Amino acid sequence: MKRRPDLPVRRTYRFRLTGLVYLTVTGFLAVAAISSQNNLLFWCLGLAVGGIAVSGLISGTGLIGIRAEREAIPDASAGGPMVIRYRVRNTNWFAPAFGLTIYERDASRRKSPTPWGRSLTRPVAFISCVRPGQTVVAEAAPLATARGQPEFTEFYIASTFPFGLANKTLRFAQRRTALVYPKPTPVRSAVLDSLRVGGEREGAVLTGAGGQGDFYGIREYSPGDPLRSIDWRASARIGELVVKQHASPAPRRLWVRLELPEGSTHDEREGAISLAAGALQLGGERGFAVGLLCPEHGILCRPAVGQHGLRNALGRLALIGAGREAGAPTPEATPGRRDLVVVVRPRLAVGAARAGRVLALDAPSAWSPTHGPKRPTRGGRPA
Amino acid sequence: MSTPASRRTVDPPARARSLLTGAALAIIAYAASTADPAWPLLALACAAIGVLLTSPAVGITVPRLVTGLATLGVLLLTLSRAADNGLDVHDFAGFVVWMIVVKCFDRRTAGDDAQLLAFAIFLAVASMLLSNGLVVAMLTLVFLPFVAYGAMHLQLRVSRDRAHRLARHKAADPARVPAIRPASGVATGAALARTSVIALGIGFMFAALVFVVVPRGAGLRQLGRLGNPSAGRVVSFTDRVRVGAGGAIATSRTPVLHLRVTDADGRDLGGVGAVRYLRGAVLEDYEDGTWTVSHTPARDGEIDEFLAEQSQSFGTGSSSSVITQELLLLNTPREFTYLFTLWRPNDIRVGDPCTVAVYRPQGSIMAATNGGKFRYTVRSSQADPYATRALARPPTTWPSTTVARVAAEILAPAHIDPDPATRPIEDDARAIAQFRDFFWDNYEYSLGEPPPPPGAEPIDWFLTQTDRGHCEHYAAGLAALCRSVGIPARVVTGYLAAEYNRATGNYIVRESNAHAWVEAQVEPGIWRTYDATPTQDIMRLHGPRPGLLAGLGRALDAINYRWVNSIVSFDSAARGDLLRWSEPATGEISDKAGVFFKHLRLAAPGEIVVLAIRLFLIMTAAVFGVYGLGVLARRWLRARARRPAALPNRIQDPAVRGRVRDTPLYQDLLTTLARAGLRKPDWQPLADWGRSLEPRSAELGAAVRELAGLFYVIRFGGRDLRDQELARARELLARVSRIAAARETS
Repeated sequence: MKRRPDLPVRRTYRFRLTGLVYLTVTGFLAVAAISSQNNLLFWCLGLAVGGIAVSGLISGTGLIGIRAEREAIPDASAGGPMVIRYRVRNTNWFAPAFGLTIYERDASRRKSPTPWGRSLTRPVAFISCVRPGQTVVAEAAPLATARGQPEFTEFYIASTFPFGLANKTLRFAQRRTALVYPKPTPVRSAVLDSLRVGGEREGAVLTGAGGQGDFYGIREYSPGDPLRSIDWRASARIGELVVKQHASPAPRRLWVRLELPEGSTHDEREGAISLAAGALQLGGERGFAVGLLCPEHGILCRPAVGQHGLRNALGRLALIGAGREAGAPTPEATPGRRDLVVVVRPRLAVGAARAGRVLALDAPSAWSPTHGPKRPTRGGRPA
Repeated sequence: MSTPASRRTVDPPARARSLLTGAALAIIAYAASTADPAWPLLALACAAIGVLLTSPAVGITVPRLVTGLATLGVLLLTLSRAADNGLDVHDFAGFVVWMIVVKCFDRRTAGDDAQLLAFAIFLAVASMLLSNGLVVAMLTLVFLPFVAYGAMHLQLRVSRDRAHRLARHKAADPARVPAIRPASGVATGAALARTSVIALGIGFMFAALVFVVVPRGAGLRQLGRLGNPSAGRVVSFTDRVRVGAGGAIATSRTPVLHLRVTDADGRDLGGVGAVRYLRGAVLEDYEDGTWTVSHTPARDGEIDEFLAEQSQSFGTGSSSSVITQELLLLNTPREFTYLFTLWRPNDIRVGDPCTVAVYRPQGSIMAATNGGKFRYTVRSSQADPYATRALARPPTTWPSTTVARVAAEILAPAHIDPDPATRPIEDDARAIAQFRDFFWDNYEYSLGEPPPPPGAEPIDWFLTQTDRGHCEHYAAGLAALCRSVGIPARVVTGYLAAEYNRATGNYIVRESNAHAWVEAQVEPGIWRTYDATPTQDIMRLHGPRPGLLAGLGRALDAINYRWVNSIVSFDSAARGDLLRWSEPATGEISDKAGVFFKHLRLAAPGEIVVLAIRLFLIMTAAVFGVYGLGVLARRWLRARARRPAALPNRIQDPAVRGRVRDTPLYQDLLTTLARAGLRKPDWQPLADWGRSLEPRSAELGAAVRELAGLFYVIRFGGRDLRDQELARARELLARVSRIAAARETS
């Protein structure tokens, strides 16, 4: 039978220094009580012994009914927080659980190809109390430090409640991955404006009925269509309700071609990737259908409109160098005649060069994964 | 000095009120336990100022350097005191009190609060070491819930800080790591309070267990006396009386001992107005105005090691007519101290192990106890246990001719010959009574009498130059007068038990009841007690005080006595009485275990294997049995939680009640939902409850609300449901049932 993933795979109890100090003081109390035969000291000794029992009892019963699950992790960008949510449920029917610290297992200890430690600071969340039968969602917001695909294998829930004598830990084995996009280097919007030739439409996409674009055709009425869109004249002619359909202009397509030649340094490559992310984001914000092309890593991401397309392209950027694209055939770049193309290279003699609809951007050689470009150095400047 | 970001607390440092209250209670308990409560209360005021100044409202931050220097100062002061007098509990408690004050001025990190908590606990323990009094115990009892809650609250804070540090651990730029977000929908306070009450209850159960089970005196010999002998207030008692020097008369109302007096059949012999003289030291030597002991039990007597509940007879007393005295000394030192008894002690039984020294010729007893309370029982004979009657008086003289002259003047009106050579022995008792009456008739009791002038013999001066004095003057004067006419006499110091408490059936004896009197030989070898202090003054000074406040004081004394008798003086005898019920069972278990291990030693290997298997099966069955019982109990509790709803018991109108019963819409609805784990709170109206269900399931909430409307038609509308309404109700109930079933399945 398969084990439920929200059940802990292991429980650990470990005495802490505080516990040892407590035991020592209890020992002193015992010596003092026996030596003095002071009955009130015997009560104190009893209370001290009771404290040990209470510690075990409260923490034990509090943690025994804990079930936890790591929710799907949304993507994040380097330099920003990644939000990881843990759904913690207390199935115990009488004992609350207190002071729960949730943290991910240090992935560097595991032979994971992409441990989270490369891309994130340690994800840690804290819950002060989970009452019996209650479900609490705790958020960890580690800082994404570098692009990549961090992999989470196991996480812990630990508590030192009530007196800090022992550290009680539950280990949960749940594997999840997330994406950390590269930190986009800001690109001036004027750069794209200078490339637009304008006027022509590459094509059209269908929108819903009643759009404000050019007339495209008619179709049958379906419930939910606005009454205004009904073509009464055509309906009268045909004998059933039909609605007018309009077309809106297709968005321009922006290709970002990332060139990462052999011999470039790590910082130069990362700078270029970050700049490509900036260009993609700018294109997305300006309504372009954005696509990505990186011949060296076998990446061909055809232009797509909206957030989906942008995320797709950014996700491919995040995985560059992660070993996932190894062996992929080199795709052919197929930008259309009227597509805009931005070429991003690690280094260029001149900062930016424009030739028709192709713009070459020069990435800075000094680059920080979380802060983005540092001061431009000789031989390059941010666009 | 700034704290690194990684070590900074997440919250604004709001110090838990429970922690501060606990620390304040610890200081008050210490003030109640010490003889000089002024300076702990001053420290408490300083601590309050510290808390106020460093509160978020005022916001003053005392630099670490200042608090560090203050800590160093307190430490050095304590060490210098320890170097002078040795470190005792008072010094340690003083150190802790001032450290609490320093911590109240310090910053409010979790570490500071943890130190404050630890100091408060140490101070409470020190207070209990210094005093076994009821007030200290009550204060400590009140202190405990605050400490339990404070410790748990502090642990939560420490855990959160630790989580915060963990999140920033090894981060290249810790300041950029976002703060840990508190989980929403979490209410900690009430759950924490409930848990601390449960923890305290369990702690008390363990404390009671340890208190009862740990044998008294066990390990004492192995550990030795590591405690500080100077700790605590001891019975202040002296065996030197400097006549006329004053100052030895204690006026404190602090209880010293409790006394219960019974006859051989256990009948209480105490009563209001009945006075008992508890002998302590016997002073036979007089020199330079000072009465001293010539023989002490510890130096000249027989010394024996006593075990708990051990008794020893002094040999010659009559057992036919005895007075039993059960005494409880509230605080004794660890060196030899006098045990107080009525005259003619016949035998003694001690409650705890100790060393007892007896000097038979004087009937004086001393004991070296373990310090603190000490319980013992003495049986005194009404006949003289040392009845070695001589035929003639021993030679007795007094150096002062003044005393002899006064004695002759006193005896002359009664025609008693002052010359012992010619006076018949039968007149000795009359002569002593004549001397005593002389004081009774001519003297007044006074504590403020000035000392005699330099060079004057104190007793001569008392007999000739003044008519005022206190018990020491009277005892010294009477003994001197007796000796001057050849009657052997001695001064006895001890306590006068005159304050009888009807509620407890005990005499309570205070420090102010210290007294001195005379024992004189009425016949050779026969000693009688004589008190020359005027009788009316004795009852005024030593008897129970009138008035409402005194009555309240006696009620408090009665409570205190119960406390001392049941808790503070819990000893091997009390433990034995308490655990006597378990003796047959424990004896039987012990016997069976002995037989078992004997068989095990003699058994063949095959038998051992069979035995092990049997034992394993029994243990397994026991574990499964306990587990099964637990499962059954849990199921029962769950079933109880889902039991069908009852008819609303608030319906008084029988017609409405009948309608509700006939159309069980309400019961069906609540039962269906209870089975899905949705139990309506008793206090909440049905429609309100439906509204509160809407966030969980809008459909369910709407159905419940509509059903509530239909139920209200029956309940308040004064009619049954119409067919259409009934059909709608059935439809809604079916919908609720479906949703509930889906919920149950999920």
